[in-house]
Amino acid sequence: MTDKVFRKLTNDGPKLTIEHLPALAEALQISTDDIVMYIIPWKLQAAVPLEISEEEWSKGMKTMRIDSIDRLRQALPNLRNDIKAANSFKSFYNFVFEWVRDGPNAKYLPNDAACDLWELLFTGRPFPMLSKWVNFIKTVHTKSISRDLWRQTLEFAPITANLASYDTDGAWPTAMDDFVEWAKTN
Amino acid sequence: LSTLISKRVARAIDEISLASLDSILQTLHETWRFHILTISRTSEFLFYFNRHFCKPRNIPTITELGVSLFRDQLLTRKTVCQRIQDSFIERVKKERGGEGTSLEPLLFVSTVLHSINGLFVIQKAYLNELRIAQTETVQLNSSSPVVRFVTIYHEELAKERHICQLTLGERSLPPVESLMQEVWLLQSKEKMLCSDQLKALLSTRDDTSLRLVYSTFEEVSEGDTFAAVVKQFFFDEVASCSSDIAGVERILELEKFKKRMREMYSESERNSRRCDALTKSFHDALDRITGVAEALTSYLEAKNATSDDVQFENVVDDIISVFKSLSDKDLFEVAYKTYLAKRLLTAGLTQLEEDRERLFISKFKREVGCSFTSRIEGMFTDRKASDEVNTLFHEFVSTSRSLPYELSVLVLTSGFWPQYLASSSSLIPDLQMGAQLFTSFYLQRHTTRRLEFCVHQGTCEVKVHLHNRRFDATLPVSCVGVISMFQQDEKQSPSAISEVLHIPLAEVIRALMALSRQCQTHNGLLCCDSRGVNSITQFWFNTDFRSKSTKFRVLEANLKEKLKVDTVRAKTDDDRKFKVDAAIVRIMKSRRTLSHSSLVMEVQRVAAQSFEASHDDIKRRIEHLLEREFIARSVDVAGWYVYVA
Repeated sequence: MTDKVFRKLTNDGPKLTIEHLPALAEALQISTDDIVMYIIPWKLQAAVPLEISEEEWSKGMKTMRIDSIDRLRQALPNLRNDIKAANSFKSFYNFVFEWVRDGPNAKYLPNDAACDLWELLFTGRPFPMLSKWVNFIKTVHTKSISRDLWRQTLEFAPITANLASYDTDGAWPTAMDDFVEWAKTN
Repeated sequence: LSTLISKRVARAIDEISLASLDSILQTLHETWRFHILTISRTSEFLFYFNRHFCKPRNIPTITELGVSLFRDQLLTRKTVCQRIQDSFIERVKKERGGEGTSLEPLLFVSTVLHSINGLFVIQKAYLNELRIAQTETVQLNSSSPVVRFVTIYHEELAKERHICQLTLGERSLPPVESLMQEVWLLQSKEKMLCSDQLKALLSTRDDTSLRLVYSTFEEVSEGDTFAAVVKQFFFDEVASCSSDIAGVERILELEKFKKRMREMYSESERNSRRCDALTKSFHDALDRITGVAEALTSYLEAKNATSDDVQFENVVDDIISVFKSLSDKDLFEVAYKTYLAKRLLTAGLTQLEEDRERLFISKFKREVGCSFTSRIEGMFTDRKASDEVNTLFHEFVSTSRSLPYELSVLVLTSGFWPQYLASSSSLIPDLQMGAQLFTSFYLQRHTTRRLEFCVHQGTCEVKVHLHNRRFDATLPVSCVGVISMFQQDEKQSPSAISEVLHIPLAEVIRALMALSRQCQTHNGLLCCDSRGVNSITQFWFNTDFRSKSTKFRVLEANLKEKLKVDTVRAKTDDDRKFKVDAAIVRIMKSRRTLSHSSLVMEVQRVAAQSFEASHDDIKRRIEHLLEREFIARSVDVAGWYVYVA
């Protein structure tokens, strides 16, 4: 039963927290850095950052018709497929910001955490200047990443294919303006 | 009949060709007259016959026939034409050369030729001759200044028009005029409308000449070239002005000159674009001068002291017109408020001065709108209200007899006054008591207000008894506690005073420095044992104190350090951020949803009353408000915002 799986992962605790993630990863035979580790909470519609409640778990697993850790492991390819479509990726991408925050009141992501996530999430997605962007955020921007900047980065990603068409008078966050300027000289 | 006439004409023309060069024109004219007479007679005669004996037939009338026959005969004989032309040009040349010959025959001939549609016989040659003659004149004058050049052009044009009217007749004026324009204006426009020429002219500020040059070149559609140089001239001139009184004087002068130039532009068509460009260039250049807003205030201050009412009013008008092209309007406001605050707080204004300031404010209100003046008016109101409050307070104190000294307080509304005033410093217990008394008195009347004492703008009057003489000293509030420590001739060090009075050491040192400083009217109330003051320097009362008058004033030690422009800027920048934030929220609240570009435009429009908000600045404030969730990005449309209630 799902509850048993959950209880086993959390050592009979009521919540699955960041400490239990390595156990989950191990049970699924994947790395903790695997993108699936973010897809699962997204699928379960986890409401509190870095937590999955038992209720969320059992409800989500029931909808996915998964009743054991083996079934979950078998479902991994499907989960990976679920974020392929642009719309669901957007929902998933926006969710990641909310879920990895340092508590429900946090408005920013730490600079380096955001960069690691971008590198993970945008793998295989259209973001021609991903490495340049990450480099820029790490070395020039250096500030924490706001929700707005996080969300706008997704919209910005495909545009980096052709920076000449970037509209400096548009509604882009100033970080994008600065990046385009920076990318021209570097 | 046709052959008959044609033979006659041919014979006549042969006769013309035999005539000498001098008389050929005369002969031509006479022949023509005779011919016309013949023709008209014949015509009348035949007309009579026609009417009576013939059916109407479609044959050319006799007059037409006569004319065309004459034309054919004359124009086919090249030599005759050539001779007519030569003779004609010869006479024109003579006329140009100043030899007064009779031009009448020429006009007759042109009329004749025009009648037979053969004016081209001489017109082309005439124009060619004109071109050669005028090109020479142009070359002779090509090195003269543009005004002289244009004046000569107009003289020559008038002369040529006159000659043309007398020889070729009115109908040939347009080609002559356009030829003149081409030879004079279009061919030398680069040389005449170059920036050196025009700048020299602009520097003379000679309106009439400028008008002449402008209108002349505007005729050949070169007004834009002219306007471009003028624009650049203004930019360079204004941008090179310094931010002091002399610089302001120059700016005001240029502003007036600009106004005149604008008037000149508006007299011709396509003017608004040039006017706008000129205004913008002036505006941009003004932005280049740092501290221009402050300089304007100092200028106003200086003029206030030296000019009479009428002059002052003119100065105010001038300043307002410059103010309108200023982007940093808020910096001017800050500078003006600082200046006004200084006067309102120290001495108060005399009636004359107040009238002047009110004049200034009312003019500003009319020209710029009340958002700018409301805070300044508030300063006056505060000052007035404070006087009333003080009267009431004195009554209150005198009935309760609870204060050992007199206390007057100016109540200033925060926001109206310059921000630097609000900096508190510590009070000695005696004064603290007075402050508390006033606070409780005031808050009884105005329950919702909050009072904060800004003592370092205040003064204390202290009586000093020394060698049986009495002095009235006006001290900064911060000095009072310190001076009270020197009742006898004991020696005191700053650190000891600081400990007794519970006042920070730095403030004590500042007060001691102020008290021991010598100045023109007195030699300092205190003495110390070394030049450089530190925490253990010994101070004692100056028993040898001398003062020119019994009333004297001790100034604050740091008074000379003027408020740094940077700190004013920093404060203004903060102020601007608030203004932009407020504008964004207000606009979004009323519009609910708005595109990025319209939001930026709206904000810029609102902010323009006091400063120029850049796109980047506004964007940063939008981002800030996005983070604080006052507004959000629209989910449906990219680049739109929605208001979050």
